[in-house]
Amino acid sequence: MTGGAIELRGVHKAFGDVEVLRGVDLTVATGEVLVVIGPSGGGKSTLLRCVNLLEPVTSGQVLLDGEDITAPGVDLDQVRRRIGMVFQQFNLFPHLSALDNLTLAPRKLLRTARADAEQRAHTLLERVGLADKAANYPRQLSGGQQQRVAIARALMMDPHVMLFDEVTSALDPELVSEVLDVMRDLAGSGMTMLCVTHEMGFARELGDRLVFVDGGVIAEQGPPATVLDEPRHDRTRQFLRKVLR
Amino acid sequence: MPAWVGPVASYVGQGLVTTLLLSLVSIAASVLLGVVAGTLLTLPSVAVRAVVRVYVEIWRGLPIIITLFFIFFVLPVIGLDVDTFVAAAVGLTLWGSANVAEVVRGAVQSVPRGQSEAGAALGFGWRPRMRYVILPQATRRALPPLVGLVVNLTQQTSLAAVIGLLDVLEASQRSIERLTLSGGQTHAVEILGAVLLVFFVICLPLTVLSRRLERRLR
Repeated sequence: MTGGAIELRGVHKAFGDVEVLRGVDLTVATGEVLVVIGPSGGGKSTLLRCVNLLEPVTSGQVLLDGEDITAPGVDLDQVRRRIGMVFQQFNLFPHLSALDNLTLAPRKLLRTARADAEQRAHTLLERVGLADKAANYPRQLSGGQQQRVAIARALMMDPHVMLFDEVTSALDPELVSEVLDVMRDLAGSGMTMLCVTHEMGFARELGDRLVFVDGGVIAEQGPPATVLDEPRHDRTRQFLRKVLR
Repeated sequence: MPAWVGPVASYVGQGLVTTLLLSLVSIAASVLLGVVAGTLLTLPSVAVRAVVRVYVEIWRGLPIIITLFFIFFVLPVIGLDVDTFVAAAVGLTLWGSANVAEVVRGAVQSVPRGQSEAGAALGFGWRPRMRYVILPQATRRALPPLVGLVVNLTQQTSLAAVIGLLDVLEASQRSIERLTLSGGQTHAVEILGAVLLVFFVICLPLTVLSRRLERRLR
């Protein structure tokens, strides 16, 4: 794996008159696990979606491995291959089996031979503990299984960075840990990760750095333990009081 | 078998061929045009959508019979003479394509936005995203209503009789009149009964198919 550094410079994002991001500067180093927390509506998901420009930024720059991907003329589809993304609602393709969900992008975008793609898919499904579910369709899988397939699908493109958008929020409580296990494994492998999450335990354990986003700006950041135990700002304190209760 | 049956059967049979031909042509043209129009309705461009929207609303909103009258009786006034079959096919296609367009638009837009986003995040551009992610799902959703439309269109072809197309209905009508004039007996029950049966035989399997597709989707 090469690269995997992200930099946001003065990123603003407005939906109509509503300014959701009001100047975000953020650097994520290669191999770093950055955890983003904050109240809903504070802009944390939008922040994540601006990294792969699923939301085009209103102003500011996004850099991937030093390359400005917000510059005109950048082939976004090429850039996005290097950024894996996992969604709250899994978003698996319901008309394809787990195996085909994994192989679709490499086969169609990278022209990988079916046999090679499937071999790699089986390896990844095994890595997320779903070796026996290759032939299953998403509707035949539990939420936790679907989310693990979604992570494996993103990994098929050998991304340099992985974005996780509240990936455990739609799961039944008892299914959360199986997804977190996969993320722990991924973090251990040196993947650069940006995780928007409500899992404070995960943030504390795996986060190299914690960012608190509220009101469209980064209100506070630092080592997870420091931010969680000794928040400096009132807003952070109020938020943590609510979620940690 | 009574003597009148043979000639009437061959006359009505020719009408049936016309009806089937009209159905096939209208269905093919409607699906083709409708899929294009429906896809255009899902594009981001407001201008494109507005133009297509006008087309769809006009032809969906007008009763087919009025469209047929218009094409057949009004266009010649401005010097555009249209053959009966062509007029019927055009009229049915305007209505059919507008309805297919709505079905296609609805099906494409009913695919959750997360599907498109997941495709985009993997690096699929708009076209491959449509092709591999959205359209396969939209097709499944569109199929039952589309088959329903095909049935409907087949039934509506009988309207072409009002502008004098010698379709299965018009042929039966004329046969009945002729028999009445020559022998005094109409045989309307037998003849129209046969026509009814023909439409039923064509449309029933399609409605069954549509229902099956719908059940399989759930």
